[in-house]
Amino acid sequence: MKIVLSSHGNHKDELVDVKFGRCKCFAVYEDDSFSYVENTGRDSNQGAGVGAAQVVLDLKPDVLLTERLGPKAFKVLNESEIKILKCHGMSLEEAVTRFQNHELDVIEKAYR
Amino acid sequence: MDIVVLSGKGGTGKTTVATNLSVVMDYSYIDCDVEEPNGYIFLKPQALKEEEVFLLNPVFNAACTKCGKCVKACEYNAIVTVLDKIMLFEELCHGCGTCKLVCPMDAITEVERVIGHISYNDTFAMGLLKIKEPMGGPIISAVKRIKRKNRIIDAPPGTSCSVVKSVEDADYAVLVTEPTTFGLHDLKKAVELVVQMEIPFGVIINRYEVVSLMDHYLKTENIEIIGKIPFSKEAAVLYSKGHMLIEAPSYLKVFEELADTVKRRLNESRSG
Repeated sequence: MKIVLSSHGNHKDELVDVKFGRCKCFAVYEDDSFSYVENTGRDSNQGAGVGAAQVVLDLKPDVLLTERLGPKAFKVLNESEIKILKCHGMSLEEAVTRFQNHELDVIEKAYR
Repeated sequence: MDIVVLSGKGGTGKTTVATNLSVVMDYSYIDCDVEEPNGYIFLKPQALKEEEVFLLNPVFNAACTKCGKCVKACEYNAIVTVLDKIMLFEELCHGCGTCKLVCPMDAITEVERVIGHISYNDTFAMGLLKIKEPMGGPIISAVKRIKRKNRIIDAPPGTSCSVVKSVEDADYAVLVTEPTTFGLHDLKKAVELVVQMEIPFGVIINRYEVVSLMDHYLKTENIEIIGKIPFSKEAAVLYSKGHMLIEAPSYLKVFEELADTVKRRLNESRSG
């Protein structure tokens, strides 16, 4: 099971970033440990959400944990087989734990 | 000769100045405010010809291997690959053609997509961007290709790419402002823009009543005031009915003086 989270920084105590397209980086949780990947979509002049979605897709995760997705990023990720779940105001570690305890809701539509 | 009318702040009177000046100077009027052109309301042009404006969008054929080269090359994040699919976000595509250039499989063809149109006759032209389309640039380029000997170019508000495109290659710039804090704030940005683009310019203060912070700024910066349009109910009434200000004799005089000043500055910049 591979989980990707939009993150504020490179540490498991960092908060899940509210922004998806322009989040600081992506945290990857796999085999009980975190690693971090740059969000190349972040500095785009336009289409940051689409760029960030491509970064996530290339990581081929099973699950994405984030707060909300814009209409374009949602459209792209919804085409994939990635499960998308919502978390608000929690650390990366807490988000993963809550996910494992089935406490997170599915993001069913784009935020606008 | 091209004279561009811009302002920074919206609603200061660009179109009022541009339309009235075009009639008094006998210049063609070109409306580059393609998101909301309104010069036609006052000039009431007849027998307009119309042309559609296209953008080239990529279409991916069966040869596409989803290698992702075009995705990486796209400066605008317009293309994504999801599983075995490739998706294009038309509204993000600038039609630059980079995807086609980098495609190793020759899997991309380009198709024209209508994003708006231009309308014109001998003395008038305007562009209109379709609703929901985000990019006015190609429409502005198309409407500016309508060449006339002498043109007044009505720029969009702000100082963004579309304004730069409208201002480009102008021989003289008329900056229209109003004596308010917002007017001054945005005028400074417009001044910066024309200075950087090395276009000679002068300022018109619209809705002028008394000496204000505006006069102070212009004096300090040594910027020429080429005209003042007095604040009056008469002007507001004419405008609200879609009439030209020059229908009132007092305003005709204002615009005739303005035209003389602009012509002098144009001649000076041409000889200087």
